[in-house]
Amino acid sequence: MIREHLSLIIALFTILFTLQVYFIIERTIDIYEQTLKDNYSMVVVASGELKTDLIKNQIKIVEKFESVDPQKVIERLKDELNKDDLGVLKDNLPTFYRVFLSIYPTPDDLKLLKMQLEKVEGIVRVETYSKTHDQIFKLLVLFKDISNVFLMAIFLVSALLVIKEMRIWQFEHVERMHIMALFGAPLWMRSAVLFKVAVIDAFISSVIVVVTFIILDLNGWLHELFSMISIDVDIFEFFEDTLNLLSISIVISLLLAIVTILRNKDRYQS
Amino acid sequence: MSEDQIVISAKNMSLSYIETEPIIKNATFQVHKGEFVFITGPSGSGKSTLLKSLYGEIKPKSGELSITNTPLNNITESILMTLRKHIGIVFQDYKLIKEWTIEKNVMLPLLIAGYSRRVCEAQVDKLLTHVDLLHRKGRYPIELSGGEQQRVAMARALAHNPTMILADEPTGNLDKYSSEVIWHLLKGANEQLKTTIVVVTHDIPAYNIKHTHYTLHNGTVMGGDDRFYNGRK
Repeated sequence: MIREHLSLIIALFTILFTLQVYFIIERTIDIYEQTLKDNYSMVVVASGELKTDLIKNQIKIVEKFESVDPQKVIERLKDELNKDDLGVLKDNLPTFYRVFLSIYPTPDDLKLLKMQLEKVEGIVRVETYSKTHDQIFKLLVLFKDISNVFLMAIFLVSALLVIKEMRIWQFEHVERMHIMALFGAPLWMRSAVLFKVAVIDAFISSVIVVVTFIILDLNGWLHELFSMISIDVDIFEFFEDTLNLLSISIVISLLLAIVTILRNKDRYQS
Repeated sequence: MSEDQIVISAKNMSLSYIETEPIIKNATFQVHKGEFVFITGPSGSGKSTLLKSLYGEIKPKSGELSITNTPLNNITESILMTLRKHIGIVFQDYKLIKEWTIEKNVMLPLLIAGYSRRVCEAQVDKLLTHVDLLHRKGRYPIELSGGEQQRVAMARALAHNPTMILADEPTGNLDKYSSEVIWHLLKGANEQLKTTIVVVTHDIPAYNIKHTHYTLHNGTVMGGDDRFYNGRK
C-alpha cells in the first residue's frame, strides 16, 4: 500500500521542495531589488525652484523630488570660509534635489532619464552615480539569471521525474486497470482509483513540503542567514505558498493520471 | 437448440496479432449454455489466443464471433465492458490486484456490478469459505502461495454468478489439493448453476466432468461434436 504511493510522493516532494526554494529566491531578489530602489536616488542641480509635479507627470518613473536644504552645505563649509564668502555662496548656491524613482532602473533607463531631465528648463546638472549603479545593477542581473537557470533546472528535473513516474504508473496502474477491465469495470471506475491515488499523493506531498518549510521558517536558521545580507524574507507564506504547492502538485498528478488513462483506453478502441 | 441457448458462436473466424499467417484459421464452433468445454492442443497452437478472443481481448481478423448474441468484431468499449460483467475469467498467472487485499480482489466483480458493500462482504465470505481461505481475507496476494492465489482467482471468477467462466490453464502451476479445489468449483458451477465453462489446458484432468472437447492443431479447431465423460466417450 505504501509502495503504491511512495514513488509519486517522493517525485512530487522533490519538485515541490525545489519550487518552494525557487519562490524564496524570487522573493529575496524582489526584496533586494526593492531595497536597492528605496536606497537609490540621483541628484539634480537646478538654477531655481523646479515645478516638480509637472516633471513627475512627464517622466513616469520619477516617484518624488526631495529638496536638499542648502543650509547643510553651508554648515559644512562654515569653518573654511569667512562670513562674507559664506553670504556670497548662500546667494549664488543653486537648488539641489534628490530624485527618487518608482523602479530600480537599468543603465539604459538611467541614460534616458538623465537626457530627459537635462532637457527640463532650469536643470543645470544631473548626477546619476552611474558607475556605482552599474555595478549593483549587474549584481542584481546576475542574481536574476541564476534564479532563471535554477527555474529551468527545476523544469528539467520535474519533466524527467514526471516522465519516469509515467513509466512507473504505466507499469503499476495499467496492470490493475487491465484486470478491472477484464471484469467489465467501466472507464470511470478504472480511472477513479487512479485519480484517487493522484489526489491523495498530491495532498500528502504538499503537506510534507508545507510542514518542512514551516519548520524551517520557525527554526530561525534561514532567517539568520538572510539577516546577514540585511534581507528579511518570508520563508513560507502560509496561504499563498500552500495554495501554489497544492495546485502544482494536483496538476502534475492529474496529468499523470490522464496520460495513463488515455494510454490504457487505446487498448479497448475498436 | 434455440438461439438464446448459444453462448459462443464462431463462424469462419480467424485470429492474428499482426498481418501475417493467422494463429486461428476459419474456426467454426458453437458453445451452448451449461456446456463444459475443454480446448487442448500443444504449446503455441493458439489456445490462449482463442480464449482471449472470447473475452474480447483480441478481435477477429475475419469471420464472425458472438458471445451471448453480442458480435465482438466491432464491439465498442462500453458494450464490451457490459458483456464482461457476465464473464468470469481465471488465468494461469492469477492476475490478482497486488495492492488489494484478498477480500477486495474477490469483491471486484461485485463492486463492478454495483452491489452494496454489505452484500459484497457476505458473498465474499461465502466464496472464501468455499475455497478455504476465509482466514486469509485480510492478506495481500503476495503473502499467499500460488495454489492459494489461484483459489482466490477462482472465487473472484465465481463471485458475480457469471453466465460463462473462461479459464486459461487454471491448474497449470498448482499443487494437487488446489487443483482439486479448482476442478471441484468449476464442476459445481457448471452442474448446479448451469454456468458455461471453457477451459484451455494441456491435458484434460482425470476428474469426473461431463464435457465437450476441442483440439487445436496448426491453427485449426477440431472436434466438439462428441460428449466425453472422464476422458472417455
